[in-house]
Amino acid sequence: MRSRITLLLKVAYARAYVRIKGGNREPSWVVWEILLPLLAVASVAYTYMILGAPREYIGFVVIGGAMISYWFNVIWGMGNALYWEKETGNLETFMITPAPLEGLLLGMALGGMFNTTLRALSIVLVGTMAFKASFNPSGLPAAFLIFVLTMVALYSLGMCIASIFLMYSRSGWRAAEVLQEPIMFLSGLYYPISIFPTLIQLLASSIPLTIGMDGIRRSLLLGYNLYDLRFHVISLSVMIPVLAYLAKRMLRYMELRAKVEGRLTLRWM
Amino acid sequence: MDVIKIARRAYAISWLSWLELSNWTNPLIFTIYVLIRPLFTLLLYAYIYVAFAISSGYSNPASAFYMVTGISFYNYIGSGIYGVAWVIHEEREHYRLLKYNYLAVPDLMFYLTSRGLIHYLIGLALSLVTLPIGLWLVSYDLSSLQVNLPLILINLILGYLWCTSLGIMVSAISLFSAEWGPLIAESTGGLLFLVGSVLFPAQSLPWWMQPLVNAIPMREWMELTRFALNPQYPIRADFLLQMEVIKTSLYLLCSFVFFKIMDKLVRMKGYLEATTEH
Repeated sequence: MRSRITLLLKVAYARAYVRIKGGNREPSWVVWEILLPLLAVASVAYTYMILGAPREYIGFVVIGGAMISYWFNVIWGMGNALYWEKETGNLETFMITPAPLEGLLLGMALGGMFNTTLRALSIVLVGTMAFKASFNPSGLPAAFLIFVLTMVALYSLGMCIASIFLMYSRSGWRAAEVLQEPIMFLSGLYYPISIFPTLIQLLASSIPLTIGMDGIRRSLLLGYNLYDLRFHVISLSVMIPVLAYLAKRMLRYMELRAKVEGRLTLRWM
Repeated sequence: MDVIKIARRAYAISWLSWLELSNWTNPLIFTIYVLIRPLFTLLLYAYIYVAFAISSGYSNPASAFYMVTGISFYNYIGSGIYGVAWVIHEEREHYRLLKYNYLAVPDLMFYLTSRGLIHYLIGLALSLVTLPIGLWLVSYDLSSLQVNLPLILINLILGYLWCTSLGIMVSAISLFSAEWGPLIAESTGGLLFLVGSVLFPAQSLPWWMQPLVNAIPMREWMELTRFALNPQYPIRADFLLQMEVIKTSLYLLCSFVFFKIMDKLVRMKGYLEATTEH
């Protein structure tokens, strides 16, 4: 048991190292990855300013822009990564080594989280300076706790998505595309989800990003403390083990099916 | 010039584009896939107006019309630019087909122009689907629309020409970089969204962005589309149309010259088949 955990952590470290090193080796690339989401943030911030919306909406947009980059990292950097490994022929190498897939995905998650945090912080910094968004520093501890819980839940969800890519290739790629805009809308990227009809609010609340984004905004923009945000903390804490268990089961199931159907080395389909 | 031969080539390339886009699934799932993203994009941005209306307590039909038409018709340009600018990266990195297509259709510029066609058609269909839904969502009176069909058609053709020219210039740059290809393609779409009067008037952007706003015909295209849907929309249509025609002509010329130079250079340097294995 102990050697299995050691192996898992070693694999995770090795994969995270490659991801961090590879993701930051080209500084101009990093700058670009910060500027690209800022184009969307700027579009919405200007729209709110022209409409004359309340000032805190600008803060909503900046936090939303930073947080959504984690979702993109989950679907493209983690879920989709197995598709790329398959396309480039690395997946079969991974599969014949004793390295556990969970370790590989954990490494991708940790490395991706680190890289995305650098970019998300830059988005917040540039967004705050450019659009004069103001935040409440007293809400930082609560925001940090909710952020950590959100990340664990979100990347567990990412592992579930990654398992789909083991089985499917091009259709999985398309599924990842389809997961962008609906989640952007349902997570309340640019506004509080309280403006949605009740049914959509309920649906949106099943997504960890929605709860996390709402909690972080309430703490950093409206000054809520941890007690006020207890339902956010509880919801995310419940989601984590459920999603982690689901990820493990799905990964095993999809791996088995992919092996049986001979899809692990199948490319361009 | 053998027009029939050119048309058959364009058809064959468009057919390839269509198959690449759609043959991974059945027609029903493909239709759902195509519709989901623009519909949720519409909801995402239309709810900005809804959020504003709820927080301020009053409605602004002019802003609602502006935003919804912008989001809906951005599908045409967004889908088109993606269809052209993404080809180099996709063919070279994903499917390793660029060299074969280069041999089969030696005129890469013609190939790119034809590859984009189907994306424009899908974009147009999505614009037409999302427009009434969006206007209904923001409670805009649909009966106040008076569609100027000739102007819409002229504007769509002009849009195809300048946007494809822009896509060709972007593709020419991405010929040199396997690594930057997706970023270049994505950021061009994002830039058009920001400076193209899609959600808000581009004149509101800072002064240092105005040269960029004026350099791209997107603002004229978007404003003329709004005018073609509603003649009460307050713009100088004649002037904007003239500007769009002039800019489109310049884009056509520039893209042709630029692509020819880059095409020659990339072959000289041997970058045509460079991949990153990223």
